[in-house]
Amino acid sequence: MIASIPSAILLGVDGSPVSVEVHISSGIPGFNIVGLPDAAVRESRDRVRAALLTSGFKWCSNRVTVNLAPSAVRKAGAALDLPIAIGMLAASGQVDRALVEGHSFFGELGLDGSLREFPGVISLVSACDATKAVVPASCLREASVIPTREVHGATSLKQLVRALKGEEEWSATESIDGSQIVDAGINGCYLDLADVRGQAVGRRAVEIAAAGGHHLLMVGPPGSGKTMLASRLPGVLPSLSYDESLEVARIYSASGSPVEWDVLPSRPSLRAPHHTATSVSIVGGGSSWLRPGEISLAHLGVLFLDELGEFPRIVLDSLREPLEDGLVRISRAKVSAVLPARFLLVAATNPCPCGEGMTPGSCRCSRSARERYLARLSGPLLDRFDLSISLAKPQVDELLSIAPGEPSSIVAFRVSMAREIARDRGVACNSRIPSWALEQLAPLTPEAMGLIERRLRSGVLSARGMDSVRRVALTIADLAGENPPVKVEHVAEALQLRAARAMFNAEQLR
Amino acid sequence: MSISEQSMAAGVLASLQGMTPTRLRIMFDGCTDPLSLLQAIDKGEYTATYAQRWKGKCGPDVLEGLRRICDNSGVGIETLNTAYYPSRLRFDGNAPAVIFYNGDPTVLNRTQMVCVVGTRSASPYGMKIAYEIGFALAQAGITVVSGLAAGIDAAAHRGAVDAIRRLLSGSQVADQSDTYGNTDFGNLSSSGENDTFDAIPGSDARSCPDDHEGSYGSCNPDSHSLPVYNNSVDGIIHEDVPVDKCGSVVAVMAGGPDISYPAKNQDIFRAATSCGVVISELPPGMPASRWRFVARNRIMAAMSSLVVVVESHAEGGSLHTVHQAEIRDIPVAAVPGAVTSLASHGCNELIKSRRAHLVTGADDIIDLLRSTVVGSGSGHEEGKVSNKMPAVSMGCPGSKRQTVSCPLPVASDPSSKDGAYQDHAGRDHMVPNCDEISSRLEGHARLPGIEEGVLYSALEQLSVYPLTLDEIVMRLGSSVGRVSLCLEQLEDIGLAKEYAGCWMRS
Repeated sequence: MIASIPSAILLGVDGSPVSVEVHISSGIPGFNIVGLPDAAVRESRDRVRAALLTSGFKWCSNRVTVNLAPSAVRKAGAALDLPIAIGMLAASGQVDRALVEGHSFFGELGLDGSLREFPGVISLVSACDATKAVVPASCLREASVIPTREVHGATSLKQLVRALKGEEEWSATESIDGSQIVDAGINGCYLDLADVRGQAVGRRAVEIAAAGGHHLLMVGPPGSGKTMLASRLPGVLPSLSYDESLEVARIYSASGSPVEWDVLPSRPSLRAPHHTATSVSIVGGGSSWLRPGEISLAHLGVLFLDELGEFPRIVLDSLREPLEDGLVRISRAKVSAVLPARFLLVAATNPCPCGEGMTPGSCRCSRSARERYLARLSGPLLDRFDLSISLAKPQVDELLSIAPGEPSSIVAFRVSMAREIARDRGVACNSRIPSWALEQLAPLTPEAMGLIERRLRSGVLSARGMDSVRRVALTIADLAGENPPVKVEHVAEALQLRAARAMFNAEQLR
Repeated sequence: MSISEQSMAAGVLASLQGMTPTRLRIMFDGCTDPLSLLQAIDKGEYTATYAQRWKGKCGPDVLEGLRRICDNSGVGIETLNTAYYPSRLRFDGNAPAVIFYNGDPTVLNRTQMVCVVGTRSASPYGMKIAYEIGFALAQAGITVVSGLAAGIDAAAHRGAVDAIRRLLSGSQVADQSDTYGNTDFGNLSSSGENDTFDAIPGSDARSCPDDHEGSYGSCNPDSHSLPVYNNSVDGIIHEDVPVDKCGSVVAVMAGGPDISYPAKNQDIFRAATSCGVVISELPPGMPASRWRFVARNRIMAAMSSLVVVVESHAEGGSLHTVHQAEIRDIPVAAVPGAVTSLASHGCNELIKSRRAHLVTGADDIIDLLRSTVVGSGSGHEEGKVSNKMPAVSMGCPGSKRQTVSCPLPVASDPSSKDGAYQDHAGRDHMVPNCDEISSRLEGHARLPGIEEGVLYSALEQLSVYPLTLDEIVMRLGSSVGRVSLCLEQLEDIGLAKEYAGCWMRS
């Protein structure tokens, strides 16, 4: 009178296997779930009971104990409804236990016995060792991206049991595999850089940011094209590989946001949270299953923070470690999880409260108001931006007369070539070259060294700034197809493309 | 210092809660004995209704309390009846009856006082001009009056303080921490026909203004200390009172004279107390209320022979100082700025409406001073108010001089090597030619592929107002990399500088 059904729960973006044990014995009739269930799991008793009865099964009037092993971990979510129901049927003998053997079950039950989708399909299905998995039919497409599992789908509990017995067919769907990844980006879905008129510096910065994975900060008045440039950045990034694509799909699946793709995501995503976002929504967390935040959803893509200065400081400073490590460790009292978060940070801010004055005196904002506005961004966060540029509103002539700029496809080609060179160097992109390896991977010509030395001596450049200039200069050289040592013109350009950093240095503006 | 009982009593009167400048002035009218006045108020014998609230609140203990505060903060008190009270204010109906000062009170009666004011949100151009004007005025023996507010006020004082320090030490001041302290003043020499005074700091501290008009007084080349001002109680300044070659600063604060507001300007505040004087209507320790910032404008205007606005927004607070000067018949001058610069709108409007004389630098200001009546305090009568333009005939500010601002560099002139910029105003507005650029390039590391011609055209695009890299790239129509290289080279040879992420001429 005992059955054990393999299933899983979600922790961050990973599945954690759970064995659902159902034991039926004589005694006072009752139904108990043990093993640290949360409210949703505890309530599954009522859903399971109703679903069994409406599907034409019997609810046994004996003492039922459901144990969720390992029992010391908190279980959250409704995906354990189906394994509990199957466990009941197997333990009560309504379904032959041999038929259930080798299957893992996931899904939420409706009172009418229908099967409903749940978050984290990919993670949960791949977490169980069983080679066959049964999921709600609506999750079938999502689950089929896992090549190592045989996934079956059903729309209701009744159909599921009949299919197990071989009396009915499983629900069918065409599965997704690697061959179906198509490059959806440049052929339509993404905005094209050709739409950006003028903005030579902005376009150049976007190209370098994409090529080297350098974080980009844009300072400029409203209407200077900050958002326009940022939204075109994913379009020049290289496409995701199959493995990367699967990883991104897994994160989206675990975030609980409905997954509506027809194919696996082949292009980097752009996430642009509003500045009222809380730190948990950005970093990830929450009480139920440590839901991935925006930085994880932007994994291998672009996180665009518009009006950077309006974000709460605690939110901005919580980005510092993920920016450094490419992942975020979330710890709560009972659970902790590591979420992937390797994103390209693009941020935009106005230069002052009124937004119009690039330099003191060019608007009505007082110097102290400017300083207060810019001081919202902490130095350590600003240090993470290899590229800091100031943008001006384009002139009318520029908007009207200049021919369309270079299209994204050409820029993306140069970017992919530069990334190729970086890969030969042994790094994914130049921004990840460790400081100690710079001397070896990005040597400088004597003139370039001289320029850096002069700027270091004049105090324009800090030690950390120097490293970032060297990385950016190497990316610029890669884009130009020139081998190291890095020439002085590349260093000069790298220096210019971080010039806006000086705006945040209140001392200089006195 | 020890403050007399009478002055102390006046100080207590000024410190009373609810005391306004007007009430204080009314109380002081015809009063020669503030102490008995104070005692009358304490006893409730003073008839005015508003004085009743101070009954029993200004006894001897209050007097002693203020004395302690003044002694601790080193603040002195001047009243309408005392020696160092500014003679120019004595005849002004709206002048404060009591002044608290921190520093050297003799400065208050210098003959040549110029008020330099401007916006708090100044552009780097305004800051630079204000600094240079403050510097040159102090060097010419003129006292710079300002409000020590952020922006233009502080920049003008900073310039004056730097000039005074250089003159007093007789050599370059080592501490040049501020942005404009590194300005190359070697070229900053005025070139008049007969009104030359050498403005090269440090190099020749002994040279002094030509005193052919008597207005700059005799200067003692060997004296490096401030002369002790010795004025009689009648307060009338005679035109032959010697003015030392070194100017001074007067900072008129809205709060107590021991409080630096804004706190960020602590360094200039301290320098102002040591090189000059900080004055206020309020006793030490008392923070300013909002209206005091407006009220102090009248003191700044009334003390000065000339009010110079360096940069002002269309409805800026400096225009209030201008108004205060106008109703006192004190001439006003304004420094023009680009018509596109918001920070110069107020100045340009003043010039356009002929309310202010156009000045392009300290030379013009000195010219303007010369053509006005020196020590015009005698022209003021109590309560006199007039709205008409100053009656003094100014002529064209630069009429005496032939080389006002020569916009074109003299390329073939061999003397142009180091003397190309004869005029201060001209220096800022000229683009060095290719020869000049190549001579500058000597001794500097040359960045590859950047010719003088390229640098020249890049430099032509830069202005005294900062431009973003984007704008420069667009104007030059070149690649970002190439423009960057140009700018780095220009920065190396000191012709361009980065300011707040933007670029401007240095």
